[in-house]
Amino acid sequence: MKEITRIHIAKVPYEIEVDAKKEFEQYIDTLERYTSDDEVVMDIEIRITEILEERGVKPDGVITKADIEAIESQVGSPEEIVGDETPGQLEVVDKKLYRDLDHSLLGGVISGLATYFNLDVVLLRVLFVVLAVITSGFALLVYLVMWLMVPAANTAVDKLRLRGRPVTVQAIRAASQEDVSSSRRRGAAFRSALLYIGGVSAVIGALLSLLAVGGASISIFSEGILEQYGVSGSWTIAYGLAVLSGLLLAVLFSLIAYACFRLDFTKRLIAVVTVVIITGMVSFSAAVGIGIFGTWQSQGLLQSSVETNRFDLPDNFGSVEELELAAGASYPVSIEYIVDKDPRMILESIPGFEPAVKVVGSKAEIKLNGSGDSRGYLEPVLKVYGPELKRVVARDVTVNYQVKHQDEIDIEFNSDARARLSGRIDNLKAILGEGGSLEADDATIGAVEVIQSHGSAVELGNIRSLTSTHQDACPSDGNKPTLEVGSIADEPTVNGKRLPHGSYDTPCFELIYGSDID
Amino acid sequence: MKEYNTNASEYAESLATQLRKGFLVFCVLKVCSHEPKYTSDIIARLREAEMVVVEGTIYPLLSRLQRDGLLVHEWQESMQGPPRKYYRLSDFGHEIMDQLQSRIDELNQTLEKL
Repeated sequence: MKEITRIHIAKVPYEIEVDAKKEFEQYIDTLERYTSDDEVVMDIEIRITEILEERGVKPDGVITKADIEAIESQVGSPEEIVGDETPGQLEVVDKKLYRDLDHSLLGGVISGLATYFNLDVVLLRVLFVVLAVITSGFALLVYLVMWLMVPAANTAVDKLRLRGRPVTVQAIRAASQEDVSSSRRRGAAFRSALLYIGGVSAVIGALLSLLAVGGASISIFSEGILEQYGVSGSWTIAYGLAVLSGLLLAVLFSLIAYACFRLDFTKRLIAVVTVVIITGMVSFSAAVGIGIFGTWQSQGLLQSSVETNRFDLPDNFGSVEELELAAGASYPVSIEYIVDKDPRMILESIPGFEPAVKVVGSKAEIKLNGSGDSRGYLEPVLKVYGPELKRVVARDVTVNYQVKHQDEIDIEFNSDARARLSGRIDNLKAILGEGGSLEADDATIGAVEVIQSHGSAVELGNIRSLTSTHQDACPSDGNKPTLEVGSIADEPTVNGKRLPHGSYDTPCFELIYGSDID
Repeated sequence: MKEYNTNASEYAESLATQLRKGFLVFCVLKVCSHEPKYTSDIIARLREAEMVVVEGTIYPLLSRLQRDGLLVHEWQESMQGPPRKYYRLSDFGHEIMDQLQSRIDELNQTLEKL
C-alpha cells in the first residue's frame, strides 16, 4: 500500500499517492515557469480534473502515479504546450525591476535591486540598514512602498527580464532548472525570525498601552482631576476619548501580534488595521483638542473672575518702619510695596484671598490669606502703599519694593522668598535664605552688604561697594550661592577678604563681575 | 525545427506539424463559430476530427486568440463542478475566419491545379 496524502487540483480535493503528488507538483511548477499566463495553468488544472473524472477518479478519490502519467501524455509536456506559442516575447530584451523572491530575506526588494543593477546583495543590504539608521527609518518606509508597488518575479520570463536577459525558450528552460531552494529556505527562516520578534514586540506593546491607560485612569481618579476640572463636562469627554485611543492602540498591537504569529496578512486584516489607526488618531487628537479647549476655557473663566478690592490700613501704619510680608498658604503670592504718602492696599485676585494686617508700634505684619478656589489658581497681586521702610522681612512671597530714593534698607528673606528692588537706595543690607533670590539690577544702589545661603542668587547693577558673606562650608550638592554684578567702584570684600576687581569662582561661591544684565 | 533529419517519416512529420499549426487556428475558430464552446468540447471535437495529439497546446492558443481579440469567453454555470469558460467568436474573429476560409479555398484550388 502506497502512502497517501491530500491535494487540491483546481480547488477540487483528492487523495493522492505521495510520489504521484511530487511528480504532479513538479509538472504544474514547470508549467508555471514556462508560461507567463496564470489563466492557462488554471484552465489546464480544470481540464485535468475532467480527465480524472473520465478515468473514474471522482473528487476525494485516489490519484495514482499511473493517472498522472496518463494525464501528462494526454495534456502534453510543458515544452510541448508552451513550445513556441510565445513568439511575441522571444528575443526581446526588456529589462524591468521585479522583487527577487528566490534570493530574498524579506520582500525581495533589495535582492531585486541587486539583481537588476548587478550589485552584491549583501553590500546592498548593509547599505540599506545604514541608510535606515541615518534617515531615522524613512528608508524603511520607502522599502514598504516598493514592496507594495514592485511586482514579484514569479515566472521564468519575469526572472529573465529582471536580469535583462533575452527571453528565449532555452533561457526559460535554464531558468526553470535553476535550484534556489537553499536560498529560499534561508529567506523563510529570516522571515519567521522577524515575524516572531515582531509578534513578541507587538504583545509587549499591547500590554504596555493597556498599562498606560490603566495607570493614567487610576491617577486621574485618585487625584480627582476630573472633579477639579469638571467645569463643562468636556474634561470627561476628553478623558473618555483618550482612554479609547489608548485601548485602540492596544487593539492595534494585538492585531499586529496576531498577524505575525498566524502569518495572516489578509486584505480584511489590513482594512481593520487601517480603521483602527484612523479611529485611534482621530479620538486622540479630539481628546487633546478638547483638553486644550477646556484648559483655555477654564483659564478664561478664572481670568474673568479676577476682582480688584481696596483695603484700608490702620491709621498708625504711617509710622511703621519694619514690615513682615508673608503668604498664608504655600501657593505663590506676589506683594508690591510702593512708598507713598497715602497708606492703602489694593488686591487683584480671584475670590478667596484677603490680607490680614497687624501693627505693633513701629513693627507691622501683612499676611495674604487664602488659597484660591476649586477651579484653579491665579497668583494674587497685593499692592501695599505705605511709608519708607527701614527693614523688610519676606516669608514665602515675591516682594517688589519700589521707592524713589531712600538712605538705607535691610531686607531679610527665607528660602522660598524672592525680592525685587527699584529706585535709588544708598545703603542696602540683605540676608538671603537658601534658594532665595534678590534682583536689584534695575535699582541704583550705593553700598551693598549681602549674606547669602546655599543656592541663593543676587543680581546687582553698577554699585559703589560690596561686602559679601557666605557660609564657609561648601554646599554638598554643588548648589553654591551666586552673585552677579555690573560693576563695583571699590574692590569687593568677600568673607572678610579684599579681592581685586574681576570674577571669582570657588566651590563655595561664585562672583560674576561685569555681567551685562540690564 | 532547426535539426535536419535523414529519416523520411520524421522529416515529413515536422513539415506536417508546421502545416497543422496555422490550420489548427482555423479549426478552433470554426468549432467556436456556431455557438459558445467549452474548452473540453473544443478538444473533443478536434480529437474526433483527429486534429489534436497533445491537448495542452490548445490552452495557450485560446489565450492568444483571446488576447488578439478573435475569441471572447463567458462563464456558464455547470451541473458538475465549478462554472465553465465558454469561448465564442467575436466579430473580428468571424472576419478572420471568413478570410482564412477563402485563403484555404485558394490553396485547395492550387493543389487541384497541380
